Amino acid sequence: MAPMTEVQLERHGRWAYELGRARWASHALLFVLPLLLVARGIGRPTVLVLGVGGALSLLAFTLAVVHDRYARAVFAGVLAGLPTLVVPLLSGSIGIVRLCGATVDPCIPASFVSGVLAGVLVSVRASDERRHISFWLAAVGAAALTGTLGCSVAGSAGVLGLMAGVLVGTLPVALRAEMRRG
Amino acid sequence: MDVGQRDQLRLAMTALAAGDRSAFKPVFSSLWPILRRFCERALRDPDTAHDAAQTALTKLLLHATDYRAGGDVVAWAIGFASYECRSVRNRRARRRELSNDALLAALPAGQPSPEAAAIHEDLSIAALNVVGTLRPGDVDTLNAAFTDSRPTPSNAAARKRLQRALERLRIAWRQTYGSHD
Repeated sequence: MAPMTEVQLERHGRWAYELGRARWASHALLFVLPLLLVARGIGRPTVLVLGVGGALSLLAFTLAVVHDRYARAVFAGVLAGLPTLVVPLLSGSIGIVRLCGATVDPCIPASFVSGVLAGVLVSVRASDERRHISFWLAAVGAAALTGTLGCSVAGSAGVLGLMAGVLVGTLPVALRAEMRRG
Repeated sequence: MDVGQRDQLRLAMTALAAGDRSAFKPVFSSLWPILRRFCERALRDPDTAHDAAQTALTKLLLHATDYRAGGDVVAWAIGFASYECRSVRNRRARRRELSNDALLAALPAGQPSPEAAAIHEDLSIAALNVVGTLRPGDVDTLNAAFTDSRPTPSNAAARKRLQRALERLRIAWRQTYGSHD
């Protein structure tokens, strides 16, 4: 290595540090990529898996580079979003249900319920963190992308159901945490 | 470096390992002089030492995410520096092996052989590496006992301090290089 001044060495050290963090953050992909294979395995379209999966991989990697806290948030978000992958299986096994003369797609309420579950899990985990709002945002982002892989089987209504469920699930936990802090 | 500074450095390194960039400057400015001094002591050549110290610091920062919270940062950093110093000495030794056959033949009687000198140098650097991981108080006690020209204090407290410092030195040696058992 060529001799450097202290300022040059500091700049070089910062690059080395960022490179080390990027190497560490790439481990997040070991967790995300198998999930995409599972999504493809349960019959989700290739375009969707590549698009949403690419966004999820990019989000996981970028947030893990930024801070360990956000790497934990992505992990929590992806775990919370996993139940949504059951929704396409539900669609395949039950199909459209007829209730009182009306047809109901069971995937929409299932998306809502899995969204509530994801919202509760992510909020409970976020309330343990010191910077809970940024943690929650990162985790919800990861949960939403993971959830979209499954809930999009019911179209945009499924994704909207998921997001509504996340908000409904978050609300009581957030209120309880605020009351405890207050 | 006193205990308070070591604690501050430990906190800064823990924050940096987690991704807090604001801790970079304190870690850098604390470790750079320590590594440079250590390499200068081990290699006895300012230019090579500067080179080894900057390589060690760069490698440490590259592996900053591997730092275990609560560990002794100075000892961890010295580990990187001693590895670099060993690599530099090995490279030097290899160069000597290739080019100094004629000098070896002309070695005067009574002088230590190159092997003996290399072993002596290795042992000195290994001892310096281990001493570098001890607490400053222990280093001062060992310095006073073995290198200072002042007469060794004869009171019981000083003997006890020296005995404890030697014991910690033995433990550190075993942890770093293992034992023959």
